[in-house]
Amino acid sequence: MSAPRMDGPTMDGPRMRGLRRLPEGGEIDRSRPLSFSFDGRAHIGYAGDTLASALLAAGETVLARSFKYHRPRGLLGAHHEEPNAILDLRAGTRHEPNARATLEPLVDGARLSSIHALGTARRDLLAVMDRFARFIPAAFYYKTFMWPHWHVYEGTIRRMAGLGRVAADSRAQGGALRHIDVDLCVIGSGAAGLAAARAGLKAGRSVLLVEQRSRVGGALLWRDAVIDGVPGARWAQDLGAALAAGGARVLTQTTAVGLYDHNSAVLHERSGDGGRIWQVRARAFVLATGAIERPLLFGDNDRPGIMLADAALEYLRRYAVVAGSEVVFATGNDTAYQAALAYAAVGARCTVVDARTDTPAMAAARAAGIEVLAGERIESTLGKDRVQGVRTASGRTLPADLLTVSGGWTPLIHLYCHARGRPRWDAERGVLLPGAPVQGATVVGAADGARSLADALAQGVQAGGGAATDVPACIAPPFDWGGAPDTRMAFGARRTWVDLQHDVTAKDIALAVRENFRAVEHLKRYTTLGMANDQGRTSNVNGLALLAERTGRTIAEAGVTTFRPPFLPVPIAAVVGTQRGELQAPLRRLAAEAVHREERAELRGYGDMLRPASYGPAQDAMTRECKAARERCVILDASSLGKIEVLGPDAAALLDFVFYTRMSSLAPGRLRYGLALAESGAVFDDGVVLRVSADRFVVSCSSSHVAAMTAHLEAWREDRFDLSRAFVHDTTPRWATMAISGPASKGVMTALGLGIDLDDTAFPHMSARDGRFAGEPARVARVSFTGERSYEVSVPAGLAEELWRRARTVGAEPLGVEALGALRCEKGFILVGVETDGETMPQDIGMGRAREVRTDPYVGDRSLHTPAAQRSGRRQLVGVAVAGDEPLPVGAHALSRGARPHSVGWITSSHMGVGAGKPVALAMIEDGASRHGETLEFEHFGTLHRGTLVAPCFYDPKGTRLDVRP
Amino acid sequence: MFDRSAFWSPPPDWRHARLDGVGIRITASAAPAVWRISGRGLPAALARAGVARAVGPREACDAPVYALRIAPDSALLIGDAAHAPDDADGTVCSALGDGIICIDVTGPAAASLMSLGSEHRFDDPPGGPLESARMLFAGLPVAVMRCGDGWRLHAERPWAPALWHWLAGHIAHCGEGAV
Amino acid sequence: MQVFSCPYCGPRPDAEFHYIGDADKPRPERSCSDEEWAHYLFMRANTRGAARELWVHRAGCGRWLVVARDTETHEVAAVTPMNAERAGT
Repeated sequence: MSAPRMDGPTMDGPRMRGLRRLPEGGEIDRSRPLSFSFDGRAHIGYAGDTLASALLAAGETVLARSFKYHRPRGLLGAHHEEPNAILDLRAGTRHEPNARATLEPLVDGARLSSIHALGTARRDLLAVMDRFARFIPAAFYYKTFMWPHWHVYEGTIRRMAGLGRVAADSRAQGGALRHIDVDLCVIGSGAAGLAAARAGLKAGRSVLLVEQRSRVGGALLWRDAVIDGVPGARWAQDLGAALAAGGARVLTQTTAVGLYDHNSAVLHERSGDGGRIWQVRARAFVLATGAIERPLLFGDNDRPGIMLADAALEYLRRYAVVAGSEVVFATGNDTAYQAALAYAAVGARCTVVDARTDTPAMAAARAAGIEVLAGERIESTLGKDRVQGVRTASGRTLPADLLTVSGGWTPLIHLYCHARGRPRWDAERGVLLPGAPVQGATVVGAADGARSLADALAQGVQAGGGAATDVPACIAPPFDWGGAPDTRMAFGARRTWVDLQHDVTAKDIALAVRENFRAVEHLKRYTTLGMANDQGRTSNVNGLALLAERTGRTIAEAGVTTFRPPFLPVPIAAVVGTQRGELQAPLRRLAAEAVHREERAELRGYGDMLRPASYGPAQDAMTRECKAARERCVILDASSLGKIEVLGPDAAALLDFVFYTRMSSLAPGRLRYGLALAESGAVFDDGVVLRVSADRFVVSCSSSHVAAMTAHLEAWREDRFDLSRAFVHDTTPRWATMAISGPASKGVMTALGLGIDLDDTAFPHMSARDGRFAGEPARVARVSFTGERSYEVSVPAGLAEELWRRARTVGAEPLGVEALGALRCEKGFILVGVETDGETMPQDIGMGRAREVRTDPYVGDRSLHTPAAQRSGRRQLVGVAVAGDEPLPVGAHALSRGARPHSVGWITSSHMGVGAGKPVALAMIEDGASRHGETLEFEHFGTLHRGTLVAPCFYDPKGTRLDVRP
Repeated sequence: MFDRSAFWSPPPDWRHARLDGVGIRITASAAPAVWRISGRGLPAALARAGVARAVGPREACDAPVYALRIAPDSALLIGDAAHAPDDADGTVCSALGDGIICIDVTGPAAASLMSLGSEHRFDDPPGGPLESARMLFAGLPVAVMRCGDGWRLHAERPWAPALWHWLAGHIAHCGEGAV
Repeated sequence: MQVFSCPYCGPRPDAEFHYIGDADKPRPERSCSDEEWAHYLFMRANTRGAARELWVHRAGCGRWLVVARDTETHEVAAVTPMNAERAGT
């Protein structure tokens, strides 16, 4: 097969500067040209191109500016190892501010822009930064920009650093998160991965094959190989199709971003817009993630036009892009020779600069007409914004429009490290390899240091559960790992770049060592080497080698850092997926929500429940609703209150243990308000307990605590009780509960006709009766949170709307949660979590009696008798009265007297009290209960207020309103 | 002042709730009557109600009255309004009325939709005899059971609208993903 | 992303469970000293390696479980009911 040539009969002229695409070959579809632009310049690419290959073919060499010094940068690689080509991409409605050009497929109409330049990549006004390089080496911000303080400079420096900008109209969408469970998950579809997948499928296992590129094959797509008699690329495509046909799941354009606990992995599938996340659970993983090439270390080794040799070969073979017509291949191993021979075959003038003195590869190259300079190294490059020539160590100058570099190889062991694997340094290959095996994941192929294609295939087959007889035969050049990085040319006159993304030079590493940051973890953090979004793919090992050299150690002694997920950056849109808007943090709903909406309620989340905050026009809702509650009759949807049944012969005993307030002495049909504590003695929840019968109680707890209270009861039931004698059933969903409250509530209850004798002697406060509503059982409890006469009517949830409507028809007016807050505040009724915090004990809120009287065990008992519980200075519940009409601000701190005042407590609730006719507030103040009458200063955001401590009840302290007769 | 009524979609009317998609049909109804039964006498209590045993998430029950296993000694009896189990020896019973919403997800694409909501292997054979039918599905507490060519999801009324909105939001996604 | 094999329900994702704390912390008697009570309330073993933890299968059977788990590798050796001898039917 003769390869197409650049200077063939269809072209004109021997040197084709600017014509960079071969007329035939590659994976691109020349019948589908795609138009795109870069920084406003229009170009044509083809279907099958990546942004990178299309830009390369179009002759765009300067694609970006570096992070710190704004140096011009071009393509170094062809895939995820590429550090420089990060661009702003707009295509249709999609906007990706940090698109990786080597990973993004070209689409028609794509508009690309360079980022991080003041201007464009070609002409960046901040290029002047490079002249000040001397003043801003690694870690300069630890030594400069300190006076008067960092924040003076921070804004400017941040604006000059950073990557793409998110546009205000960006609306990236992510796909739905998918789960997949398989026997075998193979990551990487190169030779080893494909072999493993096939072996697994043949062994009858369910298989998932994950591949980052747009098609399977890995390096077989561009390197010379013959497997089972066919070219490697075709073997791979055929096998990929056979796997899919055989029932394996094959995901392309998908990156395994992390390996996690218990054999799970997270994948990011790049499918339009943000893409989608897959969560994989597999019995076994095969990590066939391959290896990437390393750049060489020499002066000005970051110029546009310097490319990894393997990348240059990939662009040529897969995309028919000739990256240069006058190419120098700098190397210390055999890898570059495949690229050199391929470029020579298409008519480029090729020169190999090999640091070794003599190898068999040199003879083959010379035979193909390639000049080989043996025993030579690159000292520096020439050119302004792009490579125009190179200078060797011996002083020779060579013209070049493309310089390829081959500094060795780096196996990709990230996922192995995610699984807590510890890498080890292999000196002979010059690589970090997986160390001891990790549970559930096997590393194969180049990622495990395989020396040949045959090895990789064999390892893959074995990992997939196949036999040695299943390994296909292959012909391929042996793989030359190249050994440890060559640091000979790293400290010349021109700066040698190690981490291109963070602009870290060899001199920066030397500086760090001089300042005694000699441990690799210190070096990393001090210089930021390897900390950019490429996770140091092309810089970590070179940096390690320089550290070792500067500190006189071997690389193994210098140590190694680990890798953490994600392997590649994942757009937040993919992580969010479909969990946006109301799906992100859903709320529980009231059964009667439709009718609240009809009544124009303002709905808000309270805890995990959507409830009406108020009804009608918001402005005067509070006053209006509170007045209706104090003067007439209101209805409040109280369905969110928990209703947990505690049953069985030991139900009373269980409640006595879990509650601070004894419930076993309740008579059937009676209710009691009580507290449940945590073991620390702090108030955990409050609620009202109804005794239905000897063996049945209903615990009603605050809305936000239902699940927690159920779990609390269940926990102690399991710990201390015979499981056949005590049970906890959450029956909250059964009931809709409406609180009918106000001086006129008895009339409304009569009109509702629930079949209950409402006479106060027959139905006293804090008792419950059973009745019927619309033919179904109903329960009515006389419990009040407003301080007025109240009836809590519970009906089956399906009748919620009907009950509401009927009550409204007979005169009840709606009451929202906000107004309820004001009503209970002026009564001094606490809200757990508002008045109380994680330390508030019962005696602090005036409920210390049980502590003194009870000797039987209950949750939190011991904590109530500790020095902390008994000391003076504990914050106690008080009311705070003010002069004037302005309620105190919630959260205002009470100040101690004296020279240096400190906080002695704060306002917990504050409202205009409609019943009291004046502002009311509750507070927790140190020793507050014994300080009634004292006037204190309260401070809130610099303003001082004055308030007087009073008893925590501003309205009807004797509770006569509970039994008020209309 | 801070009105979120527009942000939160209204709950569906459970009497008419229905979602259709490609290869998938979702319907809902309030279970007519539900009881929570616990105790040593649970198997006998279920038998009296005409239910052989409580089922787990990967078991089917096509009878109008059935029981879902909640805990080793506790089950949810679903169906017959006429039959209220009494507190017999060794059991306690709490009525849950119409507090449970049953949502049926059926059709050839049902498995795909289920796999969006949980990593649970819904197509596996039934598990141990004490496996709870309750699990996290779409991040919500749901009791699952096989039903016809799909699954029945049981959600407590307060959470049922959230589950419904999730299903509505994902019904279009269940065909995606590599084959 | 862990999976716990509940003894009743089989393997379930960790989101269905809730971590409580150390297992093997018996509740001291009321007559204990302040130090013993404080130890019960606030001190955690914080074991590196094989630990016994209390978890509750909140979104499943609701039962309390003792999980023998390595806090470094997250390997789970066993999951048993907290009160095995008193488990129900």
